[in-house]
Amino acid sequence: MATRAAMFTFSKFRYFPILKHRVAKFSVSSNLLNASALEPGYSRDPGEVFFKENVQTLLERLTGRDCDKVFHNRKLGERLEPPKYELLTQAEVDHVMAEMEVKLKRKLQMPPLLKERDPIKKIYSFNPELQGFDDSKYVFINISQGITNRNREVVVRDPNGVLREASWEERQRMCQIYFPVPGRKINVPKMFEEGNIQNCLDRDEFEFVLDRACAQFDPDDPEYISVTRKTYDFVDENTKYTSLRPTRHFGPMVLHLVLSKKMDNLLFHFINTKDIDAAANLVRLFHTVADDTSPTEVDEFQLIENYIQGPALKKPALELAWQSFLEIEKQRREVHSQQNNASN
Amino acid sequence: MAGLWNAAKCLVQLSPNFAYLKMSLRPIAVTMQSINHLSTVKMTTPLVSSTMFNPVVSPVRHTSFFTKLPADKLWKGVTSVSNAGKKRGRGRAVGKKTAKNLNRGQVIGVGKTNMLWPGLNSPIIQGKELIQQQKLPDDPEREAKLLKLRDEMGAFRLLRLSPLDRGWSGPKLPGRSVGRPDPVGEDDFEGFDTIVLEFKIVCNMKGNLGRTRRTSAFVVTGNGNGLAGFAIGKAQMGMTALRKAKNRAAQKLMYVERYNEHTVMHDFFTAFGKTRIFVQKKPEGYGLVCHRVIREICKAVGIKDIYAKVEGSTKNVQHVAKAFMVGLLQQKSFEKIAEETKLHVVEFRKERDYFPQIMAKPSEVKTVKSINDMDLNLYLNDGKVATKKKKYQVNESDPTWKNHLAKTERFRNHEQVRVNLLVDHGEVRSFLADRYPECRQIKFVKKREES
Repeated sequence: MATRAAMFTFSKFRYFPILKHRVAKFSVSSNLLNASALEPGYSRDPGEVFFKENVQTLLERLTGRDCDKVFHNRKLGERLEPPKYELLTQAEVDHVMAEMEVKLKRKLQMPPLLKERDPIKKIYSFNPELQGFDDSKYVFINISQGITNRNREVVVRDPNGVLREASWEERQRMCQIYFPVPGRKINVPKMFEEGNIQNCLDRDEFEFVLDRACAQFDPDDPEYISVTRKTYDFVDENTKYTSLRPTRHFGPMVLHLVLSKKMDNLLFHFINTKDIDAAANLVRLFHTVADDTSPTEVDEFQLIENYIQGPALKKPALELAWQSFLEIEKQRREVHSQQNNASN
Repeated sequence: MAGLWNAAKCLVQLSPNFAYLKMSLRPIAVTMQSINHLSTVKMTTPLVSSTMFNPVVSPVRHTSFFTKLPADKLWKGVTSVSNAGKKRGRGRAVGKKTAKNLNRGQVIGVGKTNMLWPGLNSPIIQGKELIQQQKLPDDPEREAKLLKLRDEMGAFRLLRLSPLDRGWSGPKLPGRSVGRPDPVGEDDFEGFDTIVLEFKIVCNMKGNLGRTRRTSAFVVTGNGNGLAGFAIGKAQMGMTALRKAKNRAAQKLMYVERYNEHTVMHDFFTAFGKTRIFVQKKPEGYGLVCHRVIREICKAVGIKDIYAKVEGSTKNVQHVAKAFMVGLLQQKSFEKIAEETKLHVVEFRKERDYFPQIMAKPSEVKTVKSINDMDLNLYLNDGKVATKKKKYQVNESDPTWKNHLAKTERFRNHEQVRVNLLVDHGEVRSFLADRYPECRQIKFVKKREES
């Protein structure tokens, strides 16, 4: 509605003055996505929760920092080279390790969990006198340096005379042509289609699917959300958490499970593997997400027990696992105390 | 007289040969025996006149050189080498004449005329009947078969080996496997395989014997898991030499340290005599890119990826093998290197994003590095560096190069485009294929032969 005396002089596309006019009401038929503020299955808006500091620290603690697994052998698609050896003093070793810390942080940076983006509906003008000027749409993009792709102006002139802002898909395609992101294809790869994703997941290639989704889509892209959710749910159903544990995708996965109230499998897994710290952190996360409270119990065992008695959904299985764990703990403590007595 | 005439009449009936009839008119013994069994008599003296019956005049001797002497003397006459010649090894070449056993292919009782001799080549009684002597039908190919057999005898038959069993060159022994070493006590040498590296005939000149020939076999044996040994065996016969070498190698086994069971611990340099070898450690999948002798030794040891450059004498198989083994044994483990240099040994791999993996820590660490500690490879190669051939570097400002770039620019990216099209559409198609579906590549599919 507002006037825009926009003369894009130093941008590299054809400039045209936009005159004052009424914005016609034309429904943008580009994409019909049901973007609701609250996702079906989520208790809260994930974007709100994800960026909180305490949530971030909890997720980082859950992910852990296994250097061996984070820096695992990757298949680069290049010829293998023999390893290089160096003789280093202690100072040099520390220096190199510090460099690795930075790399580790970058590798474990979690892709955000957001809600689906709303489709773009803005129309700049309607010029019916231009109807039928050509068979196809014209797309214009501002390719000046110094703008991020999210803020870049991408505009479409339809054959019926409407000048509108480009839809998200058109936007991404144009930006990828002029400012290519490595690992991203212009057209959506066939891997992300229904049957093909399932094929990948059946072969346990979770990290690959998630990494490629990160490269291909933006975090609020509905396709990205559907792909990642499918992967997270599959991993949860088959309890294959170990393959994702040291990666940057573990945090978002845990948050997704907590938000969609499916965290009991994970808790069960942690109890079985005797990872009490992780189990406690998970319960703390649950409380933070559910009602922004941080639980007052200091003792981790008590914390977990309260959760199992209270808000847990799969009570019987969890209780059984918890009981067996407590027994093993008791026995271990007895043996330990006996050993202590014997040594004393 | 009548009896005589009757006999003559009998003769006429029996033998239509008038020549013999004429003969019978001469005075012969007056007996009335049947003469069926008499075979026709071969006349040695010439007959009366040629106009009547065309005789073949051929002088025949019943005694000759062939019937006077035994078989071995006969053969000696043909294939003879004097005693002195034998000492010098004459007549032992590949094309020498060998005595052929003419009895091969023949059975007692079967000869030119195919007769049934009961008791010899058939039973006397069959069921309830006595078998009679009979003439069986002739075998026309018998002679031909015997001759064929005799032709094949004595000739050196070329060994046809399957490609998997072949060595380095045809049916010759070097490069071929000769099996496991012979068991010693309880030791079975399971998993061991020996390969011949060198198989040659060596001579030695002596005062009394003159030139004595022996075969020398150089062999390596190993179990593919770090244990290997090599040895030489010499004997008159090739097989004996091989066996000696194999068993001796099994006695001299050495343990070789490997990195991740697929390659050497580190790059190194070795020499034995004029043979110098530069060995480089290589990643998985590289293969054994080296001298064929080194390749066999690596297979025996269990090394799967290596690069080795042999300089100097490459033909001296024994020197190459010894140099390589010495180098393998002199390898230093990372702990040893750390202790010697008093520094951490750190490994960087591209696949791991150059994450520093500490392979060995010394007990005490230096704080200052000397010039020798800057490059580990130089330290391990004892200060020696192998000459590398310079790779051709393109001169970017060369006008011919620019011309080449301009020409190839139009299909520079075609390979990648093909791959992308196959990924996106499953086939190489043009952008018009949507509108005009007939504009597509027709892929030729070979018709499977119905067997």
